[in-house]
Amino acid sequence: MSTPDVAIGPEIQKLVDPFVLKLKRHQIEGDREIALAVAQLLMRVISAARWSDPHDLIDLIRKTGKVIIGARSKEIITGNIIRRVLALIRDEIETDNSESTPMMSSMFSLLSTNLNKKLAVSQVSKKQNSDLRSIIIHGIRDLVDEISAVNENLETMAWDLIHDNEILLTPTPSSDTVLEFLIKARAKRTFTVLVTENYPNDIKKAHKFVKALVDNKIDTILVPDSTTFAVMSRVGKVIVGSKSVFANGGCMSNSGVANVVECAKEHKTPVFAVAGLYKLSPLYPFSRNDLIEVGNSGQVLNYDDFKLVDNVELVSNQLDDYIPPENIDIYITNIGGFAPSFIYRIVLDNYKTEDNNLE
Amino acid sequence: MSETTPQPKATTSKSAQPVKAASKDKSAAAASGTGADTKGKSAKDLKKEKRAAAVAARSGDAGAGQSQGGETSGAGQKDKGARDGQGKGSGSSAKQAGKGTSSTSASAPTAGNATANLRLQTQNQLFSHLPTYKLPDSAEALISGKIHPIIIRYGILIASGQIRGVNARTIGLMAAFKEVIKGFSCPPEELHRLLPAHLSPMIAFLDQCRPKGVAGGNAIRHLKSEINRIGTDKRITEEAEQKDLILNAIDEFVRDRIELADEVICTTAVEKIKPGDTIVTFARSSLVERVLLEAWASMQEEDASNKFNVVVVDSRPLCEGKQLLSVLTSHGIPTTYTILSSLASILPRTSLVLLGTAALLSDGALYSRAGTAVLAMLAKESKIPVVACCETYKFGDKIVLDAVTGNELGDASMLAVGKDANLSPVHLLYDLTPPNLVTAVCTEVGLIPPSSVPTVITKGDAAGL
Repeated sequence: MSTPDVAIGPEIQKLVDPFVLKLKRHQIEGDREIALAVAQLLMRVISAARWSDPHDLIDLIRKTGKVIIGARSKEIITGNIIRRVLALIRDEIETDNSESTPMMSSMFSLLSTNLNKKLAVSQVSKKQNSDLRSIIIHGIRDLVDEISAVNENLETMAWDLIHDNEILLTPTPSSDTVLEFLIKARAKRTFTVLVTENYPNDIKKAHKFVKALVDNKIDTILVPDSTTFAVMSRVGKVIVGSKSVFANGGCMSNSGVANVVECAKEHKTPVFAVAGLYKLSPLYPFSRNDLIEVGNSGQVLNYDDFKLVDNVELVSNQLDDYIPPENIDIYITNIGGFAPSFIYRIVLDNYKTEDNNLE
Repeated sequence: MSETTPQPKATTSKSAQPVKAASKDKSAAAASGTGADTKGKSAKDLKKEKRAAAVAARSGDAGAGQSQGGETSGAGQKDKGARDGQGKGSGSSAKQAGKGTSSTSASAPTAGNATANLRLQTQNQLFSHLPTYKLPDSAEALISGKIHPIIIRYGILIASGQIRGVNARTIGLMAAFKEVIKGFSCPPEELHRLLPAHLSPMIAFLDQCRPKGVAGGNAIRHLKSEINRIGTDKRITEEAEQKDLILNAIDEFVRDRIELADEVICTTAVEKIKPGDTIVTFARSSLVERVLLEAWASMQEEDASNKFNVVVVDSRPLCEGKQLLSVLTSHGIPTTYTILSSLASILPRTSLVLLGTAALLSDGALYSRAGTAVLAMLAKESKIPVVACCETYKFGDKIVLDAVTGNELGDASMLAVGKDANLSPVHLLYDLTPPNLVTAVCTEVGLIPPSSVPTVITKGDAAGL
């Protein structure tokens, strides 16, 4: 499949390089912003690229994708968008393909080899390059629309899940999806939200989050991270924002969330994770330590405390947490609510397995 | 909000209306009498009237208007006829009821205020039962003349957090009481009555500064029983002798129940620490600190290459772990510092979790600094033994089912986000670790399972401890 002769041309390099730098310097922050930026970049790459065979385009996107993912290897979202776009292209090629060759009965297709299929692909696709380009770009536009409208689509679920006078707890004050979700729910329900501080990385965001909730007339109580176990007996539901969701149903979230969901499990409190469809990843998490990004330890133990810093062995400050699927009861996405065990199906609907590994 | 919520309320009030209206009728009838009648009206009736007025106001608020008022009063009349056997002139009372509704509907805006207040209450109802944190009014305490200055000083120190930790607080408390008792004078035969009476306003004052907790309560109970024992002892006739004995008893308590107990606990706990171990502890406990230092000293004595690691887990807003960290690092113990949220990356290489305690309740639950339960739970999940160090004077016979019911609020301004009516930062000081998350409790009577706490308490009572 991968033909080495397709290299990233200078015209593509020109587009990709500044983006990679921006990503490396954390100049693009926020999951949605990153997702949109990647989608827009790929749109420009596809319009700038020249190809004769659609499979060359796939190769080009795979190569570009590798570069983008390499810029921030712990960011799952970039990979998701790239794979979504690849799936889009493959779908187009397939529909072209199926138009020309009659669909075979399902049982027979299991047994047939795809040798003659491939021949057909190259025959058809040649004449429709410009068509294909516009169709793909249109597809990416749809993807961009989907990503930007994620929060609106989540709202309808809010009323079904929250009842009046309920006490909710959210350990992810940095998630604007959770914020929108709660504000939408407030239109019809009155409830109390406990917000954890998420010291030290998100403490400012937590304060902003609390302010935003209060401005929307939601009763909000800010609690330190350490009291989650103590207050859990009063909490009706835990709402978690996720950074990305893996095919096994586990997800990445802010640091400290793993503790909170563990407390919830201990108290048998239901845990809801909200996630846009674009956060679902076809990857599986194998080692927890590989997934976690480590942040500035000066925020945990200030460097001004030089006497302490001098003698201490290690100061750790992780930026995110991996949450195993058994600690989450349901995922709320913009296309509906799903059990963690069902996530792999939705992933299969949106991605092509051949793109899981871009190497 | 005020447009939407009355709807369900109106329906409930409608159903409740007949009974309420009837009760109002009764009081209204009473009110229609002469002025002398109002004197006879009981407080209960007044309350009923108020409630009925509120209900009527709410139904008026719902926009049902006059017609509904007429209906309900009619229903009230019927109801009255059916139930109220002693009704005098039902027609006139119904008229009164009609008047009542019209007058209360005028007070609808105040009802709106009431719902706003109700909302504020619901927001705080989660933690409203806990005493709010505030510094004591030391000036007033001084003026009252009933409180010894050293108690006021001690009270401010514990309220402001300058004396923190149960052991330090208890030792401070006993030292302060010693000073008070030294300055106290009364006829020897009256001592067992007058001295406790002298102390009780001070104890009440200290309770305002900070709840005394299980350990403080035990210490005070012990002090009172000693005073009673010595005061009622007929063989002791001299005042000076009595005081000496009481002061001695206080010293003994501090020595036996805290200092010696700590020493015994240390020798037991030190055996559990092996070279190469990684010990995780949360925040700062004076006892855990001592255990770690002694374990380090004895290990180094044996062989200088023998080492163990310590991980100090800390949390905002108190960050007490920094104190422990500075002590441990100054002794050269390799120490890692982290916050509670990064715990998951530390636990895989942990061999023992060592916890301090504020109190151990009779079901074996550990009442300790907020966050301890999270650590214990995660350790249990990772199959790491959790050992809590606790002197037996911290054992309490009360039962607390969860940490929200009985807890203490800390200084919420440490979490402050500015003033906002809807927003209340809550700083719970303690949490409750269920006994199933604790492997063993290290006490001066040995390493016991948490379920043995009631046994120790009853045995201790029998032994006169």
